[in-house]
Amino acid sequence: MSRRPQFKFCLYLAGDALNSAQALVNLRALCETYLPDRHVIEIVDVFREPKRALEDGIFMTPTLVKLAPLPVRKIVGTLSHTATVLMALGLESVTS
Amino acid sequence: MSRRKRLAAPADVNDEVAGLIDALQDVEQRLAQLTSDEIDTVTNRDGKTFVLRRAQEYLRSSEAAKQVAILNALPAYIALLDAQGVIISVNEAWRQFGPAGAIQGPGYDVGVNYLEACDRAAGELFAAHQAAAGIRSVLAGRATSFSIEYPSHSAAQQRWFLLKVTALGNDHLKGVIVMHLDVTAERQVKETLHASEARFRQMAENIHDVFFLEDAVDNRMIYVSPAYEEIWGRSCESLYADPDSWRAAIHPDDRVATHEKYNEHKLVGQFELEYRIVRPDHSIRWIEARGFPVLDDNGTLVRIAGIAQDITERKQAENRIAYLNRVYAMLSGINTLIIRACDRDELFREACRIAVDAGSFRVCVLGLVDRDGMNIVPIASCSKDEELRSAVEGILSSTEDAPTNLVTRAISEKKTVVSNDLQHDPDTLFRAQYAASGVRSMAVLPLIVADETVGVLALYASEIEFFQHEELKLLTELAGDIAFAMEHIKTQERLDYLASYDMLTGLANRALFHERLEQNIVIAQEQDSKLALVLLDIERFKTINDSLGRPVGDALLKAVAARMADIAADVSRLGRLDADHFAVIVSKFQSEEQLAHRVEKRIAEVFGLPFGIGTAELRLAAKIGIAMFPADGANADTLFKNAEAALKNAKLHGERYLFYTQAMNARVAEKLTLENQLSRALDNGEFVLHYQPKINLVTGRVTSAEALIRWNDPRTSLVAPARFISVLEETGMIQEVGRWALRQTIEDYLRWRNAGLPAVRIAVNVSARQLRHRGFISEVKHAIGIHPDAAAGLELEITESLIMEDVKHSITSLQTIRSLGVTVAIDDFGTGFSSLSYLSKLPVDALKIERSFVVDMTAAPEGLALVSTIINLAHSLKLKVVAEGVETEEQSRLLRLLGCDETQGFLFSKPVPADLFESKFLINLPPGNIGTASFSHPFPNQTAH
Repeated sequence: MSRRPQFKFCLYLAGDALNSAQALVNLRALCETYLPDRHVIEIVDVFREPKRALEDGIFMTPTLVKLAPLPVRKIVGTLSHTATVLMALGLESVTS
Repeated sequence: MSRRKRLAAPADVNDEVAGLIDALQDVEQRLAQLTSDEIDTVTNRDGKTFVLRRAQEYLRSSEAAKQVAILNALPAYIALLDAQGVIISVNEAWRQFGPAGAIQGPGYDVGVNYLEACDRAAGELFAAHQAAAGIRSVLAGRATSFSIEYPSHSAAQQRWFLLKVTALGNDHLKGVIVMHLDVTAERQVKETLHASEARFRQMAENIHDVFFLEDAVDNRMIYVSPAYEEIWGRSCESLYADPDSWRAAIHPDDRVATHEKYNEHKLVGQFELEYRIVRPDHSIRWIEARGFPVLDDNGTLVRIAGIAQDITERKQAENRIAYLNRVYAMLSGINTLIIRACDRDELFREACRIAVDAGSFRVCVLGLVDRDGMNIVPIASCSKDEELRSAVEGILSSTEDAPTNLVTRAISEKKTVVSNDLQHDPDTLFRAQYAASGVRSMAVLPLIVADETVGVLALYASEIEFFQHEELKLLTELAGDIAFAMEHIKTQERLDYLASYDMLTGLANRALFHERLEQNIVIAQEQDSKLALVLLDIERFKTINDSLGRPVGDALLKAVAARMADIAADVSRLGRLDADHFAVIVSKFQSEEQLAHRVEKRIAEVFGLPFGIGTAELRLAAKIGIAMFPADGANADTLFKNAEAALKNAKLHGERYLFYTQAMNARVAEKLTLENQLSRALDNGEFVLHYQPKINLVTGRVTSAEALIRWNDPRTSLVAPARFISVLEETGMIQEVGRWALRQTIEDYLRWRNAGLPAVRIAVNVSARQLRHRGFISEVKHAIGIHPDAAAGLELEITESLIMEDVKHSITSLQTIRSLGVTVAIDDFGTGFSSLSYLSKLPVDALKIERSFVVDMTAAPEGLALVSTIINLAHSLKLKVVAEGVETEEQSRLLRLLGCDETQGFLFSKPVPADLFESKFLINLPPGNIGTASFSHPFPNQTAH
């Protein structure tokens, strides 16, 4: 039984603004569907932690950062287009 | 700063600002385009946030959007109607998912007049009619809201909807909101709940016991079943109104104790009470109430659930038995007395004493009728309460009796007169006195001689309703016996005594003894018990008589008789037949050996010390012959004949005593020799332990062992336990030998352990006498106390039949033993008729299948099924199973197939001496794992019962 990699995400949001909220919902749905039991999501609200966003070089919200597995990838937007998102995250193989 | 700048700005600066704003707007738009409007914020390089306009717009419109979203998210089907009933708006659910058959959904779209649509639907849906009527009433302002539940069943499923109509705003004319909610699930839950509640009520209300549920927080009665009304004679409503009112009904005598106990236990919600209640009609019932705590998640007591039973009948039955037993005890005591009593005063005095001691009566008075008429002269009386006794005597002899007095009636009517409730009996004088001394019922029995009431027997009991039909039957019989004895004593007093007793010693003479032997034989026959006739001759008595003279001889006989009478349990079983010839009836013995022991002990007691004749001392000895009933004779004559023969034989052979049956003599002699040898064996350390390994059927490894006692008799060789264990049991030596075995086992175990060997747990057998002995548990504690690891090496094997003898006591003992870390196995399982319910409660670890089951296993399919059942049973009770007496490969194979855990038997090894066990089974074991395997419990989930 080969151990499959654990996914680690950080999602930068602007409070409960519409796009941010959608991004969070979409990310959760995507993880539940394609990465059950093998994902961790950290949420950063840029209104609450502006410095953190600055340090991490995030200038727009919502932004999703895939921290693990490498390479690190950034995606800006509501993550509504699942196929595009999966491709951007290098997860196409998961769907097939 | 920017403010000051702006105030000072010239016109061209304003243009520039306007240009910059345009540019900024362009940038924002471009940014929005680039990000497909999917961005909420953008920050500059300093971390300052620009909020995009689209997001701001969203924020502005979000309130309305939220409302729409909420309506759309609701699982209900919602429509907005105007004042005319026209649908002006519907939510997502209504638009898309209206179920077929219901009065909403795609068929009822915006613009449709809902009221008219409902009217049209009338044929198929009665609910549609009602809905329309309801909506109209709200629209007309006759009601602020309206709701109905209606079914909408399709072939596939049954569904239920709740229709709710609410006025829109305060002005009804504006319109209404119509909402259909699918309540099928709630309805099902409600129906299930209703059904189960109905079942509970049906049960609670049909059972004769009272169920109750009390709120522990505010002391409120939540539920009480109707049986309360029947048992308490008070309404359930009264209990709901005052939850403590059940206590008001408690009998005054039980009140304080019950209140104390209840208040004490109420805090934890667990109680068990037994008390009497007085019902409104003054009748008394016995109640047994038990409460059980209901705790919330925090462990706080929130409710007390309970059950109260009317145990009056049970209680009455118990009392009846107890009362009857008392009367029986008194009857048999007085009847024995009647045979023995020599004069009237002794008869009366002793009868009163027996009534109080054996019959537990508060007072007993025997009195004679005054010749002048109706007065009683108390002759004898007895009570533990001297004050009460003299008060009662005073009452009885009082002359101020009314003619209705109980005693007067007993005398004149020659009938037993009873008052079973003195406090409430209008016929009783002195009610107050009786009440104050706790006397509750009394009976006066006439003593009738020659159709004349010559006296009365008055009995006073502290129990109410004591004298019932059966008690009175026995007591009347007793009164008859006493009257007969009185007459007997009066007319024949001296004569009879002379005819029946030996003048010299006061013992029964031959004729009376013969008669008594016959009586005893009848009793033994009825009870199916043994009896022995022991005849005793004093040695050399003729010589003594001849040489020292008759007076000395008589004095000696008197002294012998006195010593015999002193140690006899019952003087009526002694007799002097003639000259130096005595006889004793012995009963209540288990075996001939026990009888022999007793005879020897009595001989030592009577003849052990010398007899003083004047200043001289004389030692006497006796020869004894014993005949057994029924073995040696079925009647008194035959027994006498055979006992004489045995006595003759004893004289002939110079034996101190002999049984009539030769085989019996041999057996007794052999047994006694064995006893002596065993006693020496214990002193000389001739007992040894052999160990028989138990094998795990899966791994084939030694997991534990059983320690078995062997006797290394120096005269012969190793003696099998069958020959001596029973003797050890009978004589009680088993206690000491058992203690030794326990110590030795632990010593061996610790030695192996300390030597680094994979020592296994060793089972030691516990005998009946050991287990019953009070100090047994402390003995075990003491034995394992020598080393902290000792308990882990010890198992106790106790036979099933022994455990079942006194299950309650066994459970407590076994629990204590297991709490010490010692495991327990049921030995010889299958022979003790365990009830399953007890078996599941027994705190044991393992179960050993008796060897005969193992043997039968290969004989017939039934045998195999039986063993399989035992194994499954044990496993379901989480017990380890060990099969004993496994001798063949076939048996071993079958047991393995059946899932038996361990076996023990000759197939693997017979019991072997400790050194052999060590070299053969311990040294060859791979160290470590086997040790742990045997110590760890096979079923780790099992907790103490």
